[in-house]
Amino acid sequence: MLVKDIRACLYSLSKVKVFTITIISTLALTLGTLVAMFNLNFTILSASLPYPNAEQLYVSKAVHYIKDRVEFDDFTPIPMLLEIYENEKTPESQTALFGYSEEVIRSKVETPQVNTTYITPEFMPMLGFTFHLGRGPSADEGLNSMQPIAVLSYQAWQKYYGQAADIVGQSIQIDQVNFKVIGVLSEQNREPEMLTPGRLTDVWLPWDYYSFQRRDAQHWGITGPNRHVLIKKAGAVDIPTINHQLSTHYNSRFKTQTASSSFFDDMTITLELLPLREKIHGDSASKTIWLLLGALCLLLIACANIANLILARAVNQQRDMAIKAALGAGRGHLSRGIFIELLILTSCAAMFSFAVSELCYYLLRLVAADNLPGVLNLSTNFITVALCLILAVLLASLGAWLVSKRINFKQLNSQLQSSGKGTGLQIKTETRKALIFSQLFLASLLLLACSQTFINAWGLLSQSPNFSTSERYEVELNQLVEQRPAREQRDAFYAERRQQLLDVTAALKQNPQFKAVSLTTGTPIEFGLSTFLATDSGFQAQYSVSGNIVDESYLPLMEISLLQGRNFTTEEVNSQSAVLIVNQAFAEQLAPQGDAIGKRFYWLNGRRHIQYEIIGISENLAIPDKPDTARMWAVDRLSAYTPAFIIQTHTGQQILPQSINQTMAQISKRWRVAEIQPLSQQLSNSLAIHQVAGWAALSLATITLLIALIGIYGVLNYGVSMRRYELGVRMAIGASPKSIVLGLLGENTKVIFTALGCATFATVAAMAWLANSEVMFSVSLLGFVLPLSLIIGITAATTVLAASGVITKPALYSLRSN
Amino acid sequence: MKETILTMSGITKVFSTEEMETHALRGIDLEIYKGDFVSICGPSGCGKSTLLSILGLLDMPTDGSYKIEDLEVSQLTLAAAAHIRNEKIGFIFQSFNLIDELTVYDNIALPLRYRKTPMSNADIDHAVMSCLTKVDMAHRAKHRPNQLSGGQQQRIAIARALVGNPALLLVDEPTGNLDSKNGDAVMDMLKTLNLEGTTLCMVTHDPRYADMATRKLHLLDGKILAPQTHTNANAVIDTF
Repeated sequence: MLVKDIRACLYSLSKVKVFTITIISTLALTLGTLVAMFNLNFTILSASLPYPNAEQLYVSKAVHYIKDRVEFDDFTPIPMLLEIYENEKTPESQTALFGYSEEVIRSKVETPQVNTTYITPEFMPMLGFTFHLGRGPSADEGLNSMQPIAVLSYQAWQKYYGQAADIVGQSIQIDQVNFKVIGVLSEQNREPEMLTPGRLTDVWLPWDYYSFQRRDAQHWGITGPNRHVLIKKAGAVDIPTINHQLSTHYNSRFKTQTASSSFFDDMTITLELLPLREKIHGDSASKTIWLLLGALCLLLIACANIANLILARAVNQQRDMAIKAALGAGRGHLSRGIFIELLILTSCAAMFSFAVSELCYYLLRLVAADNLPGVLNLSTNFITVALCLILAVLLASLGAWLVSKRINFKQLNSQLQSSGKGTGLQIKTETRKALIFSQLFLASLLLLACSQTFINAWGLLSQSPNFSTSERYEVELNQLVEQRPAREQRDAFYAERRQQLLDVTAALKQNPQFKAVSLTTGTPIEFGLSTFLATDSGFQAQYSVSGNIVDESYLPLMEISLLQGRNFTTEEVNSQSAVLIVNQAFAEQLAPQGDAIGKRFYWLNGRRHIQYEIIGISENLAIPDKPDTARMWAVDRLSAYTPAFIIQTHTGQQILPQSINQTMAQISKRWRVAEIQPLSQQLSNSLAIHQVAGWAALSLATITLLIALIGIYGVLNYGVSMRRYELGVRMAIGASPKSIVLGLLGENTKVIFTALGCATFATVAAMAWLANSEVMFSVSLLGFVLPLSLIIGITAATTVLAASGVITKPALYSLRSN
Repeated sequence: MKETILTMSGITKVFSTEEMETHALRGIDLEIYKGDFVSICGPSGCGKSTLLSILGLLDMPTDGSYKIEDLEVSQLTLAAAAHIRNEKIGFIFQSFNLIDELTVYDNIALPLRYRKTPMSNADIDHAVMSCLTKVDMAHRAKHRPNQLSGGQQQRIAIARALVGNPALLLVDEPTGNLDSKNGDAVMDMLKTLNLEGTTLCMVTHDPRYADMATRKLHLLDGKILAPQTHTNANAVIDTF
C-alpha cells in the first residue's frame, strides 16, 4: 500500500514539475543555510572540544585597571605567569606556559615569517597532541633547561620543508638560535585558536626562548598580551572562588613589586581562569546567533511560501479529493496522501540541502575564517544530518496538517454534486490578504535589514581612509634578540641601532624601484604604541593615545593631511627632537579651545623629564569603527621598538625580501625582512568584519529576494487559483486581461503598502535601538528605497505572472472549475 | 428583411489531449436574427455548451467563420474578444455566477465598469437602477448575493446581463438550479424581454422551455440535426 502511494505521488509530482522544483529548491536553499548556521553556532556554543577532558581546561587572564577603567585587557607580566605556572601546579592540577609570537626562519633564503608558540613541555600532552614524526618536548626540556628544540606543525612541514622524511634532527635558525627539530605534529591535531580565529602555529618552541621571557622575566611593570598559563583542574572546582583568591593574591604581589613607581599607584590587577571554550570562542556567539536568526527567518519565509504553494496545489486537487471522499476516503486517508507527497519533497530537499550547507561552509571559510573560530573545521556531520532529516519530517507533517485542516468535506461533496459547474471554492478575502501581508512583511523586513547592512558596510569599505595605500607596502623587520645593555651603555646601544636603521633607509632610497621610503614603527592602520601624554611629570593628569614613531618622510608618503602646524624636519628626526604631531581628535582632547599647537606634554614612553611640543595637527584617519581615536606621531625613541619601513614603489614595481635583506646585510646582520604586506591588503584585513557583514548581507538579500519572488508569486498564484472561477465570470461579462491584472493589483494595494509600511517601521525602530547601542550604524535612504521598490516591482511582476494562467486563455477555461 | 446579428459558417471545435482528440462541434452553420429567441437542445455531450461558449466568445473555434454584426470574430485576441463580449453580449449562467464579495448593485454595475470608454457614475447608476427595476429587485440593491434566494439571484444575473444593452443575450440552462416555480418565473421574464426586442440564444434540457423559443436547434454529436424550425413565438407557460 505504501509503495503504491509513493508511486502515485511520484507520478503526480512528475506532472507538476515547476511546483516540485520550486518546493525542493526553496527548501533546500533555506534548510541548507539554516543547518549550516546551526552547525556554526553549535560548534561555538555546545560542541565538545577535541581535547581530553576539555571541560577541565582553563586559561589565565589578567586585567589591569586604573581605578575602575580597564587599562590593559588580558595583558600579563611575565613574572606573574611564572608564579602562576609554579603555584598552580599541584597533584590535582597541571599547568603549562604558552605565548604567541611571529618569527623569521633565517636558515631559509626567503626568510619566511612563521607563527610561533613558545611552550613548556606540559602543553602538548594537556591538549592530547599526537605526532606524525618524532616526539614532543620531554620533561627534561622544560623551564630553564635552555634546550633548543622545535616541533613543526604538519602544515609547516608540508609548506616549508616539502614533507621531508628526514626533517627530525635537522636544524632551523630562528633569531640567533639553531633549533633542532624533534617532531612533526600529526595532521589530525586541532590547535585551539586562542589568539585569533584561523591563526595556527607553524613552529612550537621552548618557553625559555620566548623573547619576553628572556627580557622581562623580572619586570612586573612590563606587561603584554598573547601569553598565558594553560591550567587543567581535575575534579569539581569552584571557579568564582578560585578567581577571587587568585585576584587577591596576585594583585597584592603586583602592588608589592611595583611599589617603587608612582605610575602604578592607581593600578590594580585581577586574575581569572577562563574556560578554554570561552577563551577560544569569546563573544563570537553574539555574532553568529544573528546569522542563525537570519537563516531561521529565511526558513520561515520559505515555509510561508511552501504553505501557499501546497494550498494552491490542494485547490487544484479538490476534484480528485472530492471523488476520493465520495468513495469513502476519510480525512486521514486524504492527509496520508498529502503527507507522503510532502515527505518525498522535503526528503529530496534535505538531500540537496547538504550541498547547500557545504557551500555555506566554503563561503564562511573564504570570508570569515579570520573572524569566526571553528569555521575551518565545519563540515556535515551526524548532528547536521539528523537535524536536516528531523526538519524534513516535521515540515512534511506540518504541511499535511495545514492542508488537511483546510479540507472541507461539505464543499468537496458540493463540488461533485454540481458537476463542476459553479461552486469553485472561495477563500476568505481576509485570509488571502493576511497571507500576502505576512509574506510581504517578512520579505521586506529581511530585505530592508540586509540592504541597510550592505549599504552601511559598502559605505565603510569604499570611503577614503584619509591616507593613501596604493603602491605602498609595509616591510616588517625581524631583529635579533639581544640582551638589554647595562644602563650606562644603553644610549650608545640605541644610538648605534638607530644609525644603522637610518643608513638602511638611506640605502633603500637609492633603489630606483622605490619612489619613497619611510622609517617607522607602524602603519596608520596599526598603531603599535599604546602610550600616555600628561601635563605633569608624575602622569597624574594623563591622556591615553595610540602612536607611531616616524621620520620626516612618513606623513607626505602616506598623504596624511596636516590641518594646522607643520611636518617634522630632517633635523628634528636626526636630533630626535621633542616634538609631536597629533590628530584632530586628540588635539580636541588636549586643547578643547582649539589651541593645541605649541602646547607641551610629558610622554610616558619618551624622555620623561622633558616636555614634547605639539607642532602639527593632522586630519583624523577614517578607519571604520575608530574614526575619532586619539593618534600621535613622534620622532624620538625609534630604536627602542621593532622598526618597519613604509615603501612606495614606482608603478608596476615589486618588492622582494631578498633585495632588501641584501641591502640590510651590507649594514648590519641584525635585521631581516619578516613580512612584506601591501597597505591596501592591510587596510582590507582591518575591514574584514565589514566585508563579512557586507557579503553576508548581500547573500542573504539575494536569497531573500529569490525566496520572496517565489513566495509572493505563490501567495498571489494561490489567490488567483482560489478566484479562478470568479475571474472567469468577470471575463465572461467583458473584463479585459488588463482590467483583471489592474483589479488584482488594486485589491492588493492596501495590503502591500501596509506590509511595506510595517516592515519600514520595524526597521526604523531596530535602527533607533542600534543607534543607542555601541554598534556604529548609519541609516541610508537608498537602503529603504531600493528594497521597497524591488518588492513593489516583484509584486507587480508576480501579479501579472500569477494572473497569466487566467488572462492568457479564453474565459471558458477559468469557468471550468475542473 | 430581418437584420442578422450573427453568422456562423463551418464552425468546428476540437479538444486535444496527449492521447486523443474530441470533436465537440463538426461544421456548425447558423444565423441568428435580431429579435430571435433561439433554443439549443440535445443530449449531454452533444456540444450545446461548447456552441454557447463560442457564440459568447468565451472560447474560440478551431476552424470556421463567425461574424457578429458583420465583424469577423473567430480569431480575435483575448482583449478584443473581451471588448466585444462587454459591448454586445450578455450572459446568464445556470449557477448565476454572481460575485459574493460585491453587492447586488455592484454586481450589476460590473460590466459597465469594464467598458473601454469609461461611463460616469450617474450613467452607471441610472442603468443599474433601471435594470433592477425591470427585474423587480430594486429593493435588494444593497444586499449581497448570498442573502438572496436562487430565483432572486437569477433575476440579478439577468439584470447584469441586460445592463450593457447587449445585442445578444446568451442563456445557459437558466432554470437548472431553480425549482419549477422560480424557473418558470425566470423563463417568463426572458420571454418578455424577447417580446420587447431582445435577441436570445438559450441552451436548455427542458423541452417545455425550448418550445418557448421562436427557433429550436437540435444538436447531436456536434452537428445541428434538424432544420432551424420556427416555433410558436407566442407560446406561454401553462402556469402563467
